[in-house]
Amino acid sequence: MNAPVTILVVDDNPAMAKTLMDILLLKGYPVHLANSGARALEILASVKVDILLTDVVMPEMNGVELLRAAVMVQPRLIIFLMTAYTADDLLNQGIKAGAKAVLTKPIDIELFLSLVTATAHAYINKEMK
Amino acid sequence: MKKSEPSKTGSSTRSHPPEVRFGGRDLRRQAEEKINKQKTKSTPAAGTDATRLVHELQVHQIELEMQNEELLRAQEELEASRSRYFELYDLAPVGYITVSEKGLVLEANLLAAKLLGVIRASLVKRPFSQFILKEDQDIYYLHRKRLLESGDPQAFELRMVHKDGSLFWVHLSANLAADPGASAGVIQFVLKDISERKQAEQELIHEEQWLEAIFETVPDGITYVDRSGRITYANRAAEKLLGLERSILLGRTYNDALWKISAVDGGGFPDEQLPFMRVMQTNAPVAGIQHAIEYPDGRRVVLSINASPRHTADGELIGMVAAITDVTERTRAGEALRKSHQDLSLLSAINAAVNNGESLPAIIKLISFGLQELFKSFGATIHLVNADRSRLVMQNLTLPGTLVQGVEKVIGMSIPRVEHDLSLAHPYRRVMETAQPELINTLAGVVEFTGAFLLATPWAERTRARVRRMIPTIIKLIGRQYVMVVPLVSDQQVIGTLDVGSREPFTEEDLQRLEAIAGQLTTAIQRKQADEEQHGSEQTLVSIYNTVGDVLFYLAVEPEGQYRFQTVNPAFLAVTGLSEEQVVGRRVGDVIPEPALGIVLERYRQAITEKSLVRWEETSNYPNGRVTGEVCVAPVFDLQGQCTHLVGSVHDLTRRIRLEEEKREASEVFRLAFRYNPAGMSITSTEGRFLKVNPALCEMLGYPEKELLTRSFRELTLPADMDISNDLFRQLVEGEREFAEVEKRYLHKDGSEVWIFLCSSAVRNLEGKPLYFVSQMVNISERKRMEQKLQEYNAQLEQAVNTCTRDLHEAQDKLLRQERLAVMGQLAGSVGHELRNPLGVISNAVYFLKLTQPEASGKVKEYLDLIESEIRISDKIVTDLLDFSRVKSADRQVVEVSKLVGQTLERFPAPGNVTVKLDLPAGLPPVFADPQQMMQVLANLTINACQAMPDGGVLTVSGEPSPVGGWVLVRVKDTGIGIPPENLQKLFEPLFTTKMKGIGLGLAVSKRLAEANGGRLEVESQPGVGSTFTLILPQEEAQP
Repeated sequence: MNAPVTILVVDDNPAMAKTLMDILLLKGYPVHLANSGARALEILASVKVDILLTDVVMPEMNGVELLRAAVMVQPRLIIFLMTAYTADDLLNQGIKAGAKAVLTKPIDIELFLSLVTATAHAYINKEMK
Repeated sequence: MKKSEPSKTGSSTRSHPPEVRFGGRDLRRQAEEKINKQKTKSTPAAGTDATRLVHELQVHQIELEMQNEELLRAQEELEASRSRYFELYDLAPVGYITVSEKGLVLEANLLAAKLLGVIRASLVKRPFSQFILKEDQDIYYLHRKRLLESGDPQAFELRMVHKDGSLFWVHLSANLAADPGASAGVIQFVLKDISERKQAEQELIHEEQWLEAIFETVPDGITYVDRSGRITYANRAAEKLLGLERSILLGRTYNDALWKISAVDGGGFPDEQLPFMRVMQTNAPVAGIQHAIEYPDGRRVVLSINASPRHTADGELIGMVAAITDVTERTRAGEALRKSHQDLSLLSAINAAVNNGESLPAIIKLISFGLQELFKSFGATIHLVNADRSRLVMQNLTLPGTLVQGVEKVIGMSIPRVEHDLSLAHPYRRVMETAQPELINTLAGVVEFTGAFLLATPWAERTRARVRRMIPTIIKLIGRQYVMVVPLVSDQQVIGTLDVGSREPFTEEDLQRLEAIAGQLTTAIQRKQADEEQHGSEQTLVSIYNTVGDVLFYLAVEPEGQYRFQTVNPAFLAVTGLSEEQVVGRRVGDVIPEPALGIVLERYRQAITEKSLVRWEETSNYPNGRVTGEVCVAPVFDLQGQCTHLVGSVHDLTRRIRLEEEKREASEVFRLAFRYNPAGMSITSTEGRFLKVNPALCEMLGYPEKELLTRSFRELTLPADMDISNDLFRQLVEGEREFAEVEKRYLHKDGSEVWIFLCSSAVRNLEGKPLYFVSQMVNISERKRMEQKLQEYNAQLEQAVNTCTRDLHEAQDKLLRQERLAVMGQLAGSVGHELRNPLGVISNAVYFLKLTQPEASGKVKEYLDLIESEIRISDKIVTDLLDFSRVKSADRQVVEVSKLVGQTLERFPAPGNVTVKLDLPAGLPPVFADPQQMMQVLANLTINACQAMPDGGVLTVSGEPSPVGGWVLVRVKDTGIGIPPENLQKLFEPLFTTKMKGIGLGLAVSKRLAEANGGRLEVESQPGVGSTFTLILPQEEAQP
């Protein structure tokens, strides 16, 4: 049984966002979906989210910008970046700004799920304390 | 309207009468009409005075108003016309200057001021003459005076002075001012600058005068003939040359009938050869055309003409300029000179022949050929007769080669009898009788002459009959003939005739010349005949005695065995070099030196005692040198049988002996030259055997002389060169060549090749049959070696160039690939990234499906696995692409090789038909490298290995430490198709691929990654057997 961590998936590619959401839902996590940074911030403003999985390269607001804004809204947010680009200055910025991990597309789902689980456990442990 | 109106304001112009027409009556009528209209409108008619007065006043007022309007209008028109005039005046392209009766400038326009280089205002009130050149002021005053007196406009040209002092030519037109307001004597000048025209004119005049002066003074006639052939210019000399005054000459055509044109020799001169025709036809100059013209008065001159075409500036041919020289005198003098020179040379040749004692036939032959030359004759004949003219003594015949040529002595042949009518006789017979020269220029005469001449020739009777039949043909053959016959008269006796025939008519002058020659000939014949008569036997002997080359001497025998030279011939003196005084009258003992003297005296005695001819060879020293001769003496006895004289002769052998010596010397020189010649020399038989060889040749071929002489050249020739040698030899033997040159190889005795330059020629006997061959041989082995070397160098050079070219091509290929690569890199960035998103989605979808369909059939699961593995491969391609475009820095750490291999094979398992063998010993040291990157490399190698074995095989992955230590070698070996050697080099180059799938980056990236981790990637392969890739990585301890 998975810990109840809420995940917000952000990707300008709807198929990508949707498949990820479906998998996470299947795994029993509450999931929110956003197709842009702005929409993601709206959600963050209204719902408590534990994990933010966001694409980096997006129009208007990129993942790193979103990251910076998201941390302002929910400082405890755990953030994973996903990208199609292997080496990018933007990724370094993202890591510096506090991203927990960078996942390369196509995402190794198992790896991601293990990260989510680990986060959830840590979270639970923290809560328990 | 020309006159100036001072350009001031309106007030002054009002005094000027306006050109407006209006009459008071007209106005009045109009005014009344107006007032009447008003009246009918406003005021009723009234009959009172006051009313009338008012009416009058009104009318008058209106009248005045209208008048005023008219005036204003007129003034406006005036203003307009004035401004037009102002423009005309001031801005005109000619200068206007008005000068007062006192000669002061009243006004001037802008251009006039500009011409003079002054400001317009400063011109005013200055004397006009001040601007005119002093020397030309008279012209100005003269015309001004004329104008003022007659009132007629004047036009003239003079020079004016610019402010800067320069002069310029102006054309001036002067008029009295037409302005009624102007006072009398005011003159208006129009100035036009004509400096340029004037200058051109001046130059033209100058040039024309100059040319004319030249033309008029040159001694050559100069004419200009226009295109139509008319003479339009002739200078004074031409006038004289053509014998006509210019007034008659000009306008006539070049071939006018007034002067009859003929060739220099009097024949016709074709029109198309005339200078004019030739120049007009060829458009090129002609020179030295000579023809004669005959004046109406009959005089004839020979002209030499040089002519050139004349063109307009744009090249159109418009006529001809001819320079004519009278060469009549020159021609005549030249002709006379030539003739007299010929005559003289013939006469002197005759004299020389007579003096040299030439025979009479020879002299006659000489004369007849000379005459042919002289008169351009085809034949000259001399008949000599005896005293009573009954028999021919001698006759020569020189006719055209077809008939008879030569000199014949025909002594005793009777001359055909003279017919009763002398005119029908053969001309030479006739001349013999009359002793009068004849000139036969008529055709009838010629025919008759020829026929008679032929019949008079001493043919055999049968021949004569044939010739008679042939006469018409022969005449046709010989053609028309003209004949001169002159008698040879000696002591008023005709001794013969001389005749000359020609195809051209003879002149009286020719006849005179022939007579002169006949005179000389007679003299020569007389002298010759006289000489021959006088020459008795004695004379002949004396002549022989004097002219023979052998020495002759006559000795008187004196008592006591003494001999005295009584006489010797010139040859004696010539051979010995002694003078006559030193010999004649002297004793033999005083003339002939010892030791020969003893023998000589002994021989003389012998001749006397044996009463016979005695011969011996004798050598003595005389002033001329050593003389050797064969002496022969014979005794002369008197009636008593007493020997009184000795007659002797000496045949000079000195020359022969000297020749023999010279020959001996020459042969010795040749022998030495042959022996010591640095070049090899040989004399070879016609079979090719060496008959004689020199040391140089022996040395060259390594054979002793004796041995070489037993060989033929063929035995020594290198077989490869045999054909060419035999060929040349044959050509020499058969006489196709006089000599042969060839570069060939001989075999040295030691077996080595000797390159020889051979030059050979044949020595032949009189029949041309070769006797033997003389050859010279130069060793050119060294040169040949150099040539060979040069060729080798050339080949090497060529090879080097080829290599360079290939390298260049390769470099270019590489560049091209790199260029492709650069584009690739960019593409890779964008395409790779773009592909990753859809791949990600597919990957997610598969994951989702697998998750949600645990119950799915095996087939579905298998397919989902398939999709998953393909996604992985796709992702790897994308990663390769991206890695290649930007190699990530290696994140190196200590890692076990077995772990790397295991994980790789787990991720990319080999297909079922490939057996995987692992040989990774337990003690294999770990390596220091980025595990991700190394796994990528290993994945590439194993995937490639499997693809190289499409039908299955063994994949072996082994590891071992390097023999030198510090490294680990990881080998990935397959048993596949192998790599062709030509592909091995390019294998690691990007974009090189032999696969249908793939883009050729795998190995390139692998190599890069290996190197980025401090390692290397190597390959060995054998087509058909398999390939082994070796990844060499640094060991842990190798790292600091």
